[in-house]
Amino acid sequence: MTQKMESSGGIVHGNDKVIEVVNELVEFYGTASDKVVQILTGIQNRLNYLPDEALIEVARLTDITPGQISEISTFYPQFRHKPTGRHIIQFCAGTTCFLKGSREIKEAFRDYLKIEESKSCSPDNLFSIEDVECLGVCAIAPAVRIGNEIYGNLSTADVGRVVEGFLESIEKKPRPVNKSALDNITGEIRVGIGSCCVAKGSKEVLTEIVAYKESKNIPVLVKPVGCTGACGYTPIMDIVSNEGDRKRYVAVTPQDVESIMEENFGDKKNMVNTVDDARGIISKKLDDYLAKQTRITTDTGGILSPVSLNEYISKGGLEPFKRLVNEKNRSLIIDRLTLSGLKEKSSSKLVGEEIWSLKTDENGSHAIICYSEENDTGSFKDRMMLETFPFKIIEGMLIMGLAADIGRAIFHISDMYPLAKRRIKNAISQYIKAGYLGYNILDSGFSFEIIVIEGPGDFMCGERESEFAGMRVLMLSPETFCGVPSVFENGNSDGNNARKTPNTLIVGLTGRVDTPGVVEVAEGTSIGVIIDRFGGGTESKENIKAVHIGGLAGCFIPKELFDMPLDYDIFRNNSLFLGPGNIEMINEADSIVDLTLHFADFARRQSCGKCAICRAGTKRMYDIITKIREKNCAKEELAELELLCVHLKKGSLCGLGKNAPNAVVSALKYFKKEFEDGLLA
Amino acid sequence: MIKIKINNRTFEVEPGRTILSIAEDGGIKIPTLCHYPGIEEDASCLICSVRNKRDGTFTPACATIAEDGMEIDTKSKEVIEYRKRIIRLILMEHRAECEAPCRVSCPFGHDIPLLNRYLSEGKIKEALSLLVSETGDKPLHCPECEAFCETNCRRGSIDSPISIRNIRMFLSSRLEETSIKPDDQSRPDNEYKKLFSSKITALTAAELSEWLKECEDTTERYREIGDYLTAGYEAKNCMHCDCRAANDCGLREIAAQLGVTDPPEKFDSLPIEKKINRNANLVFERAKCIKCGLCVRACNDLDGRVALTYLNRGLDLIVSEPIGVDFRYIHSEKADIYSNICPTGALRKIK
Ligand code: SF4
Ligand code: SF4
Ligand code: SF4
Ligand code: SF4
Ligand code: FES
Ligand code: FES
Ligand code: FES
Repeated sequence: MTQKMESSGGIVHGNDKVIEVVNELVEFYGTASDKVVQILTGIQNRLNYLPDEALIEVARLTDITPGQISEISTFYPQFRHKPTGRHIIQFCAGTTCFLKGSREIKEAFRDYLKIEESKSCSPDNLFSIEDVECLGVCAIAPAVRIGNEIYGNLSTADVGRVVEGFLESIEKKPRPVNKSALDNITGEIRVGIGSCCVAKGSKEVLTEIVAYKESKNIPVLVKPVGCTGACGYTPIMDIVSNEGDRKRYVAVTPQDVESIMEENFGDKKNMVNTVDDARGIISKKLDDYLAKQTRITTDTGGILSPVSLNEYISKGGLEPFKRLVNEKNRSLIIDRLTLSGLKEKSSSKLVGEEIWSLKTDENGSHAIICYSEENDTGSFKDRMMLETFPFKIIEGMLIMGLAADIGRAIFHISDMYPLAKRRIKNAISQYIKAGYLGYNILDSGFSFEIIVIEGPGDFMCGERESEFAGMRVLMLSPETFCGVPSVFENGNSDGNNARKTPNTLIVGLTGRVDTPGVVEVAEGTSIGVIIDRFGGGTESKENIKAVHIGGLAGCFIPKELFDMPLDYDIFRNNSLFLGPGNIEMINEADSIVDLTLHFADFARRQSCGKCAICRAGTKRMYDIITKIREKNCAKEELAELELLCVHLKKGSLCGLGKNAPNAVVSALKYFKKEFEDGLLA
Repeated sequence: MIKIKINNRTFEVEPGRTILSIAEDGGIKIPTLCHYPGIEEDASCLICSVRNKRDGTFTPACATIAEDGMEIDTKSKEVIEYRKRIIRLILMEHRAECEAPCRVSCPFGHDIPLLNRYLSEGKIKEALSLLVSETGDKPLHCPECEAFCETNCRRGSIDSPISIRNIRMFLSSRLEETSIKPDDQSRPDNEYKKLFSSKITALTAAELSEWLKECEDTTERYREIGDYLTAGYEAKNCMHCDCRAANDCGLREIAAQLGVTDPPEKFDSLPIEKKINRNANLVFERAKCIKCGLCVRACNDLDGRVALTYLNRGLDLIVSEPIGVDFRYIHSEKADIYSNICPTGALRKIK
């Protein structure tokens, strides 16, 4: 225990409530200095911000010094130092939302709530606003979150409706639930409940379905399922008989439910088709959309419940793990993984080789880590994966644990994705109850535990490495874990027939597309094919100009290069960055300069600020592009920008700074004209 | 032993040493700002960057451990370009003034603030010898001068200018009684103009009052100066508009060496702010801080005594006393360390 401050610097101690909250949390978490983030998160959850008095009190009671607590609490943007209104409206600062007009939406909210320019809280203290990185629902951009509700596909005209609707919703009584226990079930009705499905009204649709079913006593199971990834078509309602016949309805509204239910279960069952033709056609399109993919990792999306382990097991889940845990043959598992060609998507390294290359240090702490992207389109995909395939991802972790001989795993999920976090936690507890997690699983001698780390995520700036420095870790994305069980499906114990899977890539497709979503395609599929097959072309068909690919560290690719296959090696050889492999479509009418400015803004905000070139260089980059945008840029400054990019790339100390100029460099390479238009006459 | 080439010279050294230390032993000069012997390295200013010839990247010499077979270049055009870039960027977030308006407007470049400092601290001998070294054998310029210094004196926009000319004339009248030799410490005349100097900007009322903090213990103004005591009292009203590091600033020196001038455009600049801790004899001017982090690395508060820390991230990153703690509680032992290691005028002794 370190000695505490000689004097608290003359601050008046805060009110009793603050002191009480701090005391409780310190008692709960203890006084060790590595608990600071948890304690701060707790305080903010209780008091809605971090009052100075609370920080001082924490420093007084624990091993944390005032210097440390000041530094940490101001470093993470998630921590607030000023009180907020009762409800917080979070504006997405991600790329797709930006492309689709998030700035105007934010202004409209400010206007509607009468929030002054310099303030962040409405005069009645009911709402405050804040910017967050991508909300992970890019398919329904532009989006905002109020409290726990996400609202998508917004236009400025929707603002009043959204605010009033939100206020109403918090007063609403709970709606009917699926309660009657029925025998003789004839089939099930599946509705997707991913975050953006929900934002598009799938919960209301479910409520209507349940209400209808309850009132008419229909012997059918209403089953919320994970998302199909076809966000452009949701809410999707599949009515599936026990025999496997399926009727599919897309873009269902709560008002449609009654006629759909009548059509399938009512007295005039199947006599009149009340569902219009157009929808029938779209439904076919959706079938097509799914059929054209190579769905290996995402095969059960839209089919299985994301909250039932029993169902997962009954459909063949955990078979691979059960077999492997009995075989107890580490090297065989690794060989099969290597053979299958399964790669970690962020690094494109073979998973099998990654395991071999782990340091074999017996005493050091070790863990398997599942990290999710927290920015931009990467988070859209990862969020959807975590929400939809929690059981499969955990099974993948278990198998990796067996292979790497590691008994501990960590999920790092940002506070930004509450639903994903809930699903994962729920899945973990079901696994524990069923005996597939914990000590000596299935009497095999293999023990495995999983914890979920909460609190501010923010893995940028090389913190990802440093946070777990000295640990023996295997860090993979949800997508990779989710791909692991498929490798061992249909396998038998002689070990030679690891399923040689076509290597797939899961791609989030957003921006100016007709049907945004998450699709799984074979590695090497070209950009153009993905756009045509799944995007349904661009919103305004002909006008496509480019895509931006790879999230915030990614680059622009003009339409002339759309034949380029999505392949890590090819990208790398062209000094392009495929990153999490997501595609953002850009129209002729969209300004590349604006978008570039958006990426520069992100880099500027995310820089940790330690090294001068990144801290000030990203800001200078932003300033010059701003001048171009305002058609106020001197010729020398454009030249300065080009050299600045080179210097950022060659001189920055961490990945953020090195990759910060990627978007600018590719924009200058392919769309120089747009920049030159911004020069002073 | 490992072998490394710096500017095509081969060095054979024991492993584990930084490029900077090897270069220094070999007499190769590399500029540094955030490096200080004995303090843990944490490359942040990047001014010591050198080029790794293998991959063309720049790497900070102070924190890069030499590896066998490395080939380093410390002085090519690319390296110099890169260092210029770094200094320009640092200057864009550096809002400060090396010299005071009075001195800059004096046709002879007399170091008026320093003279005032001597007088206010009762250092009469030093004051006189400064005067001698500035005028040499020639008579004092001031009686014939329009007193540009007073016209531009910053104190003038608060109440009235410091009585600079009268102070100097009084001192000059006393010179005969003494046998003062020129002070070879001071930099006479317009020498300073060869150095880098940041722009003098117009100040807001709020900033003027920050400046006035320098004169917290003064009471009265004097127009006529007839003795050392009144000269001292009037000199105390001088607000110390020049930078305390003007003569030993790493940033100024490197900028001058590289021939970089103050960039016309600055980032949304920090307000000028003076934090004064009279107990510890320490003043902190954040607008001059280049966020090199030396002070934060040199002392932490694990010993229970208040220390400076980082706040925020990215361009908002600043060095500050911790939240809820007053700057006046910084301990004088730490203050001594701070004023010694800070490469700029951000942290300096008041006197
Ligand atoms: S810190 Fe250095 S460069 Fe800045 S004003 Fe002072 S002397 Fe000039
Ligand atoms: S009065 Fe003296 S100090 Fe003032 S500007 Fe003239 S010569 Fe310089
Ligand atoms: S207040 Fe002092 S330093 Fe400032 S301009 Fe006047 S004489 Fe010069
Ligand atoms: S105050 Fe001085 S030592 Fe501390 S970070 Fe700023 S420039 Fe560096
Ligand atoms: S949800 Fe807004 S960009 Fe992803
Ligand atoms: S529609 Fe379900 S997550 Fe996108
Ligand atoms: S002196 Fe090496 S980075 Fe600052």
